[in-house]
Amino acid sequence: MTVSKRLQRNQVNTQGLYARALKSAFVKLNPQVMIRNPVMFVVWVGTIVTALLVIDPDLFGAVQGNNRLFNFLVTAILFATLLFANFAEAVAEGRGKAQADSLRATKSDTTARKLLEDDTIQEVSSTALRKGDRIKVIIGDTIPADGEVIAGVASVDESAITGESAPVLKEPGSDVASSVTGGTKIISDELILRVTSDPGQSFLDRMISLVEGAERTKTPNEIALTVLLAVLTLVFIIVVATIPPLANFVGSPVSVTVLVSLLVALIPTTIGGLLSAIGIAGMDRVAQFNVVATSGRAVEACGDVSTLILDKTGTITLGNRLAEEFIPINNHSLLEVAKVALGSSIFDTTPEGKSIVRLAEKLGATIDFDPATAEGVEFSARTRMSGTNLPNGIEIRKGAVDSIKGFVRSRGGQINPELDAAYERVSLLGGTPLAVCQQGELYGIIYLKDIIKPGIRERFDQLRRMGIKTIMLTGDNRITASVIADEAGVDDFIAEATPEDKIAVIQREQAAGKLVAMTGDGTNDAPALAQANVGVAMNSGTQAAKEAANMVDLDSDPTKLIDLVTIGKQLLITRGALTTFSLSNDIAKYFAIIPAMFSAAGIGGLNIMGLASAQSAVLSALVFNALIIPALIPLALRGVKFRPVTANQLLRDNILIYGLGGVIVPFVGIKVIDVVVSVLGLA
Amino acid sequence: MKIRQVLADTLGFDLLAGKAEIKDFSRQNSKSIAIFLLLCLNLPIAQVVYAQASAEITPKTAWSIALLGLVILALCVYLFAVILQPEKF
Repeated sequence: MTVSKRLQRNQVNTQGLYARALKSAFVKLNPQVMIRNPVMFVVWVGTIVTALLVIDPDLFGAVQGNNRLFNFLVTAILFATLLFANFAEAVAEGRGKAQADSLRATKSDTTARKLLEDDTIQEVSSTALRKGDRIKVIIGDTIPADGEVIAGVASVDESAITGESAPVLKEPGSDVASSVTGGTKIISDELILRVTSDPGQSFLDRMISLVEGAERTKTPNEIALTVLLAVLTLVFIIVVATIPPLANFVGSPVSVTVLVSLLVALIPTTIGGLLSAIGIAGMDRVAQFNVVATSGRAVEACGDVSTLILDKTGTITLGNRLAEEFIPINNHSLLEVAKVALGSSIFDTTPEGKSIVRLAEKLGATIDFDPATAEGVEFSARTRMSGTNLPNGIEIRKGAVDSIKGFVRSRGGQINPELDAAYERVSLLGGTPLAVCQQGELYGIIYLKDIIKPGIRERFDQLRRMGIKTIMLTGDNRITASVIADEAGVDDFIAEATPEDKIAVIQREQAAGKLVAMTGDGTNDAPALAQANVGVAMNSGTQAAKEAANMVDLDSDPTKLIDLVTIGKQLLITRGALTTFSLSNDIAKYFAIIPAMFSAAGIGGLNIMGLASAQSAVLSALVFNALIIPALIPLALRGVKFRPVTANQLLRDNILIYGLGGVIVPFVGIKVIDVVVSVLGLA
Repeated sequence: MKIRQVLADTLGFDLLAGKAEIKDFSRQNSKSIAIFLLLCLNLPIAQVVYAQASAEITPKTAWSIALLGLVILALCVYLFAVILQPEKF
């Protein structure tokens, strides 16, 4: 599935977005705001200087060709450059704010039923709820705060948060279904919750402040780029400031207006103006993707990820394994195995258990006991088996082959070598083998078939081309894991994995200088999520997992991790491409302004664009410089089209498109503008 | 303490009595004070520019050029601050 196909949220009201952005562009002219963007602050100071020269053209001494109209035009263009840059940022911020508004609409001050010590109910405002309070919510209620289910079972409509209309079952004690989010709605039954956040600290509050940009801080790459832009700006200020003595020496004095124009043309205004918009748009793209990032740093880290750790079930294979076949051993018939398998699964409500029941019934198996008098034995990670205890003392079990072997031995049974042969056969098919037994007698193997998600192999191929290593984690045995890993095309796998293995593999990769991303939902995943460079928690997961992760996927789809890497890379590529374009633009602007400045010194031959006059050349370069910012706003907001190729190939392509393009486009653009300026008689 | 007393006796009032108020005032009006000091500094620099100018320039032009020089210097200092502490911008 492609990124664009999966973008589903964006139900934001963008009406009046551009009008608000335009207003905001003027408000951002405040020097206290402008000073945060070094490149545009220098343009701002330049605009003030040229504006003073409109009032008094001879303020810094009389220079030939220094006139009020020219100064006014330069000032107007510089002012427009500032507005365009502010507008780009305001549009990006506006989209985030619109998204925050749509989220805020789901957040309302409701009345909550707070349970007191003696279990009596006190009605309080949702804003009065504190962490640790117990509340009761019933059908039709909007859940007043984030919480953990401590009693009851209910269906919850989470569409306000996730956009997913199907209701979600919430119940206590489960890692994946016991946390609820404030703002969602109970559509059946009732729940007792323990509040897990104080007012203003809820999941929705955090989301709102993130998409609004209130908590936006510069990412490491943005900081590095800011330093580069500041260094370039400083160098060009020094260069331009030392020009007047040289110009006077060669007998071609230049006006301060032309010097300011040269400075603005040379400093990287394009990327300076679009830098924050690119970052905000990156966060916005992640939010549209129904993922909440705790910081821009996390989104950016996605682009730098070099190792992906993925759970097999739900990410690489479809979540539900289905019973495909019963393999009898010990001379038992197929019907006998089906009967024992049915008996062991009659209380199993998992999709796997239900599929075993279906297959057994299809084969004509029936149970010869009354389920009302029997007792179900639930699966546990310790025993790794489940089953049924019959009233006559007979124990029927199904589970991991090793565990069933141990169980059979403990009941005085024998292990037949046929079992290992059947186990290997299923494992080699990439399936999960479950052994079934009754008392001390083995009956056979259930073949649970894993279905690899369609298209996942191609996704892993893409990731490999991008230089990203994929590691699959599974609780399955080594043979099954290797078959699935081979079929899916992952680079490495860890079989019979425990939560500790996750941390160990993350630490091992990080020690090798890799950036690691992983998904998780359970409390036992929390340490690994915190350890990973990018930890994506499922919204259906526990509070501990969500707090440890730096991203939360509202749709609880672990496959999304692959798409997040794509978004992160797209953000980095967009920033790199526009920086390349911005810097390579300088060449054409240099060739437009320098011959114009020193025409009297006999370097007219450098006027390779054949620009009409000195003033026309300066104006054309500045107009191009200003217009390129709004022209690139859509690209900055949408992001450069991402292709899964190696970093070297990407660099080569981008240098060709944005580097060479950045050299050629201004030559054409400045020439066209020069013709228009000449025709209009502005210079 | 002695100097403070001598100053107070000489001036007829305690010069340092309003130290806290002066601190508060300068903190609240730091930008205005910076601009004022910049303009004060520009006065002697403008004289140097006027004296060194080879061509005929007016005192107003000398003052403007000196101020422009200070603005460029301030921009350079600002950009150095950005380079050294980028996370603050």
